[in-house]
Amino acid sequence: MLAAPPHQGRPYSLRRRLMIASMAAFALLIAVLSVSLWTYAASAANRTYDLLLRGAAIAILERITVTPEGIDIDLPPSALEILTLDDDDRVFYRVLDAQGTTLTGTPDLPAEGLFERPLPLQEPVFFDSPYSGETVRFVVYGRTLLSAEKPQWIGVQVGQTRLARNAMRKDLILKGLVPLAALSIAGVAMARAGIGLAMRPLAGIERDIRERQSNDLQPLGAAPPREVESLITAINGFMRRLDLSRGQAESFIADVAHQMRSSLATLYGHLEYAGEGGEQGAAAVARAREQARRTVRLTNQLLSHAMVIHRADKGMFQSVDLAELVRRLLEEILRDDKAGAVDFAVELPPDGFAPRVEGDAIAIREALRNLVDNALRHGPVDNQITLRVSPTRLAGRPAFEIAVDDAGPGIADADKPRVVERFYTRGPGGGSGIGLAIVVAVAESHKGRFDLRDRAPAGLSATITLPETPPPDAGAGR
Amino acid sequence: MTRARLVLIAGLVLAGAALAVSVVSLQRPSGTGRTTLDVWSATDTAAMSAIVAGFEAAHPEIAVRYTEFNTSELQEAVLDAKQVPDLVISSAMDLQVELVNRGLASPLSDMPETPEWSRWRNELFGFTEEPVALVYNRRAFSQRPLPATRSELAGMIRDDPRFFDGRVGTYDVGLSGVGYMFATQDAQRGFQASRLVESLGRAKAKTYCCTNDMVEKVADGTLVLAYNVIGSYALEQVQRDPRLGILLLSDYALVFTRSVLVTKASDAKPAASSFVRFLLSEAGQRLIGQRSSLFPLVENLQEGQSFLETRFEGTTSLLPIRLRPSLLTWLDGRKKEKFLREWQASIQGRTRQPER
Repeated sequence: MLAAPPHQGRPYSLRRRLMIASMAAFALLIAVLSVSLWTYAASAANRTYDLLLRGAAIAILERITVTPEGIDIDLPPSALEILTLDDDDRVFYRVLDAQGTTLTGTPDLPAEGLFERPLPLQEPVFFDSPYSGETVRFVVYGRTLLSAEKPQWIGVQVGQTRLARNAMRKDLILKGLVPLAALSIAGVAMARAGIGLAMRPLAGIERDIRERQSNDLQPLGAAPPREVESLITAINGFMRRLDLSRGQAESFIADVAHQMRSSLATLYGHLEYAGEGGEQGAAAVARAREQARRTVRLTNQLLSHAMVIHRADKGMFQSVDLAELVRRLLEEILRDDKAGAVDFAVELPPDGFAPRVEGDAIAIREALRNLVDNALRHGPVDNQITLRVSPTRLAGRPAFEIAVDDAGPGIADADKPRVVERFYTRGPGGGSGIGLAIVVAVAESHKGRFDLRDRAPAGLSATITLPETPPPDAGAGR
Repeated sequence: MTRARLVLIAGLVLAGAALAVSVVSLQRPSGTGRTTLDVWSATDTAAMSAIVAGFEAAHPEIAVRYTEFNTSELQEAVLDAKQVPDLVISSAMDLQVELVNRGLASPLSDMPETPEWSRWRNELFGFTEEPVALVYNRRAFSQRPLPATRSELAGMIRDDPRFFDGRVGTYDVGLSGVGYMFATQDAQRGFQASRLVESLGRAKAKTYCCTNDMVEKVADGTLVLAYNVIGSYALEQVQRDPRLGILLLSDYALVFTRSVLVTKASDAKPAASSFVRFLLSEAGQRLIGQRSSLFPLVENLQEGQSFLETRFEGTTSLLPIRLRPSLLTWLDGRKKEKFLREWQASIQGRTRQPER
């Protein structure tokens, strides 16, 4: 059988799945890129405006000189001007000495632990700090002035609010994100269109199947793209098997009809004779009874056969204890008192070694029952029947064989392939011709095998071999 | 005292029902449903009263309490105040920029379009455009040419010390914030400034606190000219007094603006915003142009230089002082100290002359 997905309610939509997946992927992509864009934009804006900040600091530093009267600070108007060239940022500054004392400017600018470092900084230090109600970007930059007495470090702290930076960052992010978002939308749309395109051959196949007559099981004629080739092959294989099994079912029904008709016709003939009375009539009655018995048995066997096939279809496998099954079967046979003088024996693996297989207990029991029936029917009155369960291997996998050995006449080698066919019977004591067909069907449905072997010096060994667990491809068709 | 004075002056300048309403409104205690705006201003009450009255007429639900300061008092008062005013108006552009830079102003939205140099951060708005001019005594210059540029002026003073000696006036930059701003802007514009200051020093120039004093001295002949006076104030007197002439030097004329800001601490921001919006509006600008001694900002913008050309002699290029943090440079303690020291050394020459 094809492994059909269990679906509740509406089946899932490939298109929706792909849309959701691609949207999620794009959302993730945008999120990741946004984060990097954010950091990039922030650092780009900072780099740009830090240059201005540093330029302002340099402009101020350049105008600080050592004079005989002390340090001369001549603040250039350009320093504050370059920080407010085209925007609304507020600016702050101060000039400080190596002790952190403010020489001029706003004394309460935040230092951010700057003075815990060795102060004669020669490299600019940038930092953000909240000041006067806004986040302000500061630079501290200094240089060492050479004076007559000793070198002296002078630092400049310049700050600028972040309006221009934030505007630039926002601009950069927007310019990056808008095309990204557009690309994502286009990508999702293309995924949607792509699904439609990819699904088009399937729609053709669907139409092909939908428009067929119900009995048309010809292979699909479509030339499938590589991606769905295996699906088409599987569908075609399935149709072939369906065709085969339909043929088998038709011939089975035809066989059954023929068998039933001829069986009932024979019964009717015997009953005609029985109506004539006398000794001939009595014999006819006996024959009619015998025919009726055979018909009933035939019917039961047919039903049993159908049941075995039906059950195999359903996949009702569970763990079966073969020892227990054999023991119960034997009890049943002895209780029915069909055995007469026959000697029964059971051979099981040693205790503690439970012969278990994955299978259908009812079907296996039915198969064994048929084998025992056959042995009883075809064997001598003092037959010796042995039910034997032993571990073996089948196709490299652990298995068990269940053998029914008898001391009967056996089957000629030429007859062996034929006895397993439906409705083939031998001799006057022959059965319905269904029994061994059932056994074969059970063995097949369990992925096992059925063998008939002669025993020395006389007798037949009928063996069902069942794997402990069905092979992995079990269920992929019968 | 201030209120009494305001009422008095307003009564003199304006008449009519609108005035009566405004005076009553000033005296009415707040809490009767009218919003009272506290305006602290470094502008003559006389110059502003018509504008305030016009605003109150347009907004009957708002009353204005107007308090006058001089510029440096105003700065200190705002920084020290426990009860901060709603609006601060000042001609000292640098001090106003300083207040905004300290984060004391609150941003306003939906303001009328004004020139970019006259506004900053949507927090500080200039509402006048007033050139810095030269006032001269017409009789003194009846036989001589007027200087056209700063360089010519410096040359004239150097060439004719007898005529100019002790008869030139300018702002005392140590006393007057506005005077300091003009002098520093001159210094920032070019080398002619220091040459001119030196010439003024050689001519034993006299220094004054205010434009009005200088104009009076020019009118009575004590001075032949006064350099760097506020054009709007001077023009008012020049138009009344035939002895006076007013001139814009042709190399450049500084232009400054009176600016207004709404404080962050104001509890009546919507009303304060409408006051600023009124100042910048067409109606407010027309009032400034027609009913006050100040010069409107927007009318100048609309008429180009014609507004000034009809009022001043000489043609010039106007150099607006931008309302920007670069003004803060000159507020720097060391910078200011150094500038004042050098300026005073130049203007007073080697021999200190006590002012008469």
